[in-house]
Amino acid sequence: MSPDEQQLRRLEKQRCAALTSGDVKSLATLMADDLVHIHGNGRIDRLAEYLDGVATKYVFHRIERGELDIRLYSNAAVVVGPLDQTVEIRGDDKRKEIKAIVSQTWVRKIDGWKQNTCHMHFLSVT
Amino acid sequence: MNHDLGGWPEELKPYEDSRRNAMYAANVKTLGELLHDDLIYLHSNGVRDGKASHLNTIGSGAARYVVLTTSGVESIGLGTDVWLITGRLLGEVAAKGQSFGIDAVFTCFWWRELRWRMVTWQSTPWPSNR
Repeated sequence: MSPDEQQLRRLEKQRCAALTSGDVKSLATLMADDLVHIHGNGRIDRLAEYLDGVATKYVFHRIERGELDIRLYSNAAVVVGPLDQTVEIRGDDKRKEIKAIVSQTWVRKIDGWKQNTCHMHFLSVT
Repeated sequence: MNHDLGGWPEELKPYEDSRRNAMYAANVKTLGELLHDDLIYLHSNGVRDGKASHLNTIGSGAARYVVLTTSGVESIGLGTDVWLITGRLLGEVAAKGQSFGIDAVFTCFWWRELRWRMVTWQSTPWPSNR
């Protein structure tokens, strides 16, 4: 496994940890300024909307990633793999168990890899 | 060029136009030249295809794309050799004797290694409450 691949796996773990701990500040350090985040319901968020959603709307109780397929192209990387999470919308006490397939792109900036897109597709929601 | 490719990078427009035309015509030779060997193609129903299975789907006629249009396209350049494209996809595909409408959010990743080729594609149904 290349150093870049190892680093991207670490960063994705950090991203999931920041989501489950609601640590928006840490999450922001992993994101590119022109982030495009596509939720499993098709909603598109830019960086400010996404961070605000994490801070005020969503509670992530658990996020697990399966085997990640990581491929490097110039100074960008594509990361594709399954995601399994328990999430709740604040004010709605129902926890949802979500299985999804996710593709992400990361770009190598001066201060490290940043996530530029995250596109989630729900496979099941219960 | 016969598609309205508003929002697409100028340098990618001929390739994307050819890709769609190749899909309509089930021209797997041309389509294969536009897709990277590492292709990951994630359909809006969650099915994952690689290059071989995607070309087989198109070439066999299992899915016959009739029209594909994009709107609200945003292009993000990552250096000189990578484009990320996102937007809305509207279209029509025939499969299993039926015609299906396509209304989806898409992202795709193109990489230039000697020539431009698409590396990933993902689409998710367009939200109904928009």
